[in-house]
Amino acid sequence: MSTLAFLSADAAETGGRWSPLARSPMQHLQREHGARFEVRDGWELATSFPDEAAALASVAIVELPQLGKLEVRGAGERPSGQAYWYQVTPERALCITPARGTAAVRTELERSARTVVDVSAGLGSVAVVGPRAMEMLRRVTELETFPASGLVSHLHGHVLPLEGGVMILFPQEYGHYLYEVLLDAAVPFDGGPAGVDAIAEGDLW
Amino acid sequence: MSRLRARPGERIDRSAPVTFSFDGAEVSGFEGDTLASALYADGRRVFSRSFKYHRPRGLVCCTGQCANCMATVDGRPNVRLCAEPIRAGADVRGQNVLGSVDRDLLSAVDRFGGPFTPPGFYYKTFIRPRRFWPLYEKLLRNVAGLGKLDLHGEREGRFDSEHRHVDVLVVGGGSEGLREAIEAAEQGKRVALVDEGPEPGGALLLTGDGIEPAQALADRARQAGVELLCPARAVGVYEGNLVPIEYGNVLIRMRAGEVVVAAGTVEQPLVFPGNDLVGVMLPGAASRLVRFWSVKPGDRAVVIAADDAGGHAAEALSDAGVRISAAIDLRTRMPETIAARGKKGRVTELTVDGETYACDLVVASGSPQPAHALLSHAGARVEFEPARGIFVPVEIPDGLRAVGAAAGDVGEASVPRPAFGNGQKGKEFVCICEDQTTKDLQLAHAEGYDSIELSKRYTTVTMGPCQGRLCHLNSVRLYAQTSATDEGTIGTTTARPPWSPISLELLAGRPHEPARRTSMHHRHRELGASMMWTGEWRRPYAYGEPADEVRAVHDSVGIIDVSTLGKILVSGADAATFLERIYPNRFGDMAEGRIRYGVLTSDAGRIMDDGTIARLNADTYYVTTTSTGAEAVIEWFEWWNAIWGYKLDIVNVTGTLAAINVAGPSSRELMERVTDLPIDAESFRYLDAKTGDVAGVPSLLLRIGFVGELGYEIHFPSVHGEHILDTFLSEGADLGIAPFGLEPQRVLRLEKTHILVGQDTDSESNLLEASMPWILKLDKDDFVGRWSAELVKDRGLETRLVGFRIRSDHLPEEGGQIVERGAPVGRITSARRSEAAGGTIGLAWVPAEKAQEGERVDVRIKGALVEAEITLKPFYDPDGELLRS
Repeated sequence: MSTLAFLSADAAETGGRWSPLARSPMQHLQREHGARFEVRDGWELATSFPDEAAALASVAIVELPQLGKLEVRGAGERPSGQAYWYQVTPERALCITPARGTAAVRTELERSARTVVDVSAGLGSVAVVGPRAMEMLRRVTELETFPASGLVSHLHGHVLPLEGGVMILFPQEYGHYLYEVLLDAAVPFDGGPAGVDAIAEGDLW
Repeated sequence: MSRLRARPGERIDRSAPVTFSFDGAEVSGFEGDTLASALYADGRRVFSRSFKYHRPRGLVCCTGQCANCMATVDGRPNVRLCAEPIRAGADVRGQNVLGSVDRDLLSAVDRFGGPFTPPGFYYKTFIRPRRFWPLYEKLLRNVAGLGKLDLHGEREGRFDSEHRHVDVLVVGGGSEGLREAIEAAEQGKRVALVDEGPEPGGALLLTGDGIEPAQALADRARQAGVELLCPARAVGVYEGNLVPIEYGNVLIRMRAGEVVVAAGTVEQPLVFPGNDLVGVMLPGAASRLVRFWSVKPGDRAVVIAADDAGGHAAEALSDAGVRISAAIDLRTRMPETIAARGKKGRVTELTVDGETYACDLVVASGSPQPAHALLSHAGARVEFEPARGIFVPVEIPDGLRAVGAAAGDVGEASVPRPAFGNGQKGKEFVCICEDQTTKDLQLAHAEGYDSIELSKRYTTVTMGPCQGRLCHLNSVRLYAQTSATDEGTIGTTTARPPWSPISLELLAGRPHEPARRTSMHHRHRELGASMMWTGEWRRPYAYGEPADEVRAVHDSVGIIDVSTLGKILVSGADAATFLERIYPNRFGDMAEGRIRYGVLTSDAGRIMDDGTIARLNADTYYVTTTSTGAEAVIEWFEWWNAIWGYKLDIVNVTGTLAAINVAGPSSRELMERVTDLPIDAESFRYLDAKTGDVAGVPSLLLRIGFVGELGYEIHFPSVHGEHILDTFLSEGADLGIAPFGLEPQRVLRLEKTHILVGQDTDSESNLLEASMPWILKLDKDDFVGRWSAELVKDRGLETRLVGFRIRSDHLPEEGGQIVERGAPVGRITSARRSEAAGGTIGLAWVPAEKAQEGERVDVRIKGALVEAEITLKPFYDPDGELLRS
């Protein structure tokens, strides 16, 4: 095992004696909201919710926990494959990768960056999408132009633009709280939760 | 009934009747009415009772400026009925009354209470006998005031806040405001316009021929892309052009590149005896009643005003069939005296210079005051203009602009006398919100409160719900007259937000409480844990009886979630040098794969945080901090490295990794079941750090022990928290594994005299006096806190943190005193009962000379002194044999 492999969620054993499943901090609330779950890429994911079509027609809250997130320090070069690159400062970037694509991107980045740390398990990710997504977003953050970093409902987060909305990256330990806040903020707009299948993976990159 | 026949431009929908109740009686109005307009149309004239004297109060402004129509609506006190839209079923009740608004038994205060209630009366009357003050206070609080809050009421309704950004925010939807907004929008700017009415138009709407132009301007604004926020109120202007806007149940926090204040003017009442009688109102109120809601304000009116508003009102009243007994334009005739008289609190006649007019309506106003409050919030200065008798804004800060009447363009106006009473009988009110009369202000001045700011605090003039809108100018002018000086010399009181009262529930918004939960949180709940707060974290206090969990750790194996520990990667060529310089102990000489305890001190040598530091490879260290210390430690690291400029990266991985501590004599056996790493005592020594899979999850394993038994701390990606916990509980079931919470952990660590930073230490604690001299490496190069540590060493120890034992069941309070000859000489920081130690144990700060093994001290417990024995060694496994086993 390499020195920092213990940080990587996707380095967990698959198909062996233990078969650990990754779970998100929002999972218990998703279960309360009637989510249907499937196991994909080592993750137990909420794939759909009852009545999510109505939410998607207004504003839908979609958790995307399976995405990889790499903290890049030093002048790293953007990876060649599918990845979202957010230059936080001249010396710091976040790189969002598809599920199970993190290791390859990390290897590529390590050639140019000073430090690359896998923070996939540390940053939660949730998308706010739909025709009224931006209206709802104003109720939880004062950030206006994206990508940007700042307070999202009292948490320090990163808000990245997405087709039809935004994706919020946040410290995962606040996941339960943030999911409650977002679902509550969606109520006046008749919004609600939706599963990962509501967002085509291609819309992310 | 006072409702007129249908009129062009009226706001009511006569096809949509709405019914509500006032003090239990049914009242009907129409959609588009306010509660006040519907009540007025129904013949109701008295809406509330005044703050102090309980005098009847009727409509005065009809635009939400004053407090005269405040009532309790559906249990919510202090609702301004003139600005509150009608709604079916609303339960409207008069407030601050004993009886009803028409027959208020407390109105006796008006007849008999005057001599007892001058300004500052609570310092003058009701002070003897002194022991009666609680009784007086209760009485006064019941007799005076506004509506009553239900202190046990639940949150009702939904209140949100919203963050917005525009290039231009226009406050005020009159003609000037609309034109400004249109012009900016046509230049491609993002523009929002705030207006207090349901439709913009401002003063245009108060004139017969202004309605259509107002609508045309509003339509143009919409077409140009102006966002019209109506009805809405700008509450204030804060730094960076932040303008909070009350917009229904939403508080908009608007950031604007430019704020254009086009808020027009605030009509000013004239000051004369009887000026608060029901039926005395401002010109705009009369015009609104007629033009907006088709309500006839009275039968016979006297109009007396200092500007064109009087003419507009007279025109509206004539249209409504009101007989005008007299119309006096103060620009052409300035009376010496004015006085109103009435019956049962309602005006019946007005006498002007000795000539008396019978009337049930007096429409009166002085010079219109530019609404400059928002500009003043932002730092604009105001200057008095003697020619027009108003304050106008000057020196407006960058990013703000005033236009139209708000900028002083109020047209031609005369300057009325500060007061028209001239010795006539009757109270003449300067502040109708707070029941302050000319006599009150003159008395305050005579008593030495000669500055308007002092007068404000002493008399409360301008401090009522109207926030000085209707009394600020008059009080300044009266003070100038009383002082025989000018208004410019008197100056103004300081304008502060909110400009309009705003409900606390709107400010509070949604009730969310940020909480950090570990990835095992829900498992803890399922296992029966009672949760507690530690900082923002939710953590298990215990899963059952804490003593049972302590026993499990000592006898077999326990598992605790320590994911809350701060976790920081420090990597780079200079990582070792950096840590050597920021910590008082040594890290450069550590072998890879080894761990050392570290205590961070400030540059004043005070203990800030503690944790372990593992060297993962030559250039990478893994630092743990206390559960609430991670952010502060990272800031501390980054702050120092901004100065030192070492080549390294500091990455917070607190949330990335979950962590558990498995401790107890059976912990090694359990570990062997979940990992292929060699776990025997030689392969995995005390203070070793290794990486490897645990239950199929890549992990960092640290052989350390906070709770005093053989133990392992396992750090792994947080998304696998439930899997790891489930696996350990199932694999350890036959070994008697038990999850343990914070309370048993506190007992266990106390048995080892391990400190909790922040509990056993405070902002004055240093390493030497905290009995950790072995941390300090004064033989290495300079480090943060070195100079201070040397000072402490040179001056000698004054106090020491030591263990103590009480051989009985007595349990002192944390924070309790160590006593010597009746005087406190130390304090207890931690105390628990411990089965393993055979009694009560704890940590305490004692005088240094008392820090001797076996020394006896007295501890105060519930008033009694109990003997305690000092110990300098851990209570459990004092030589650390179990830890190292």
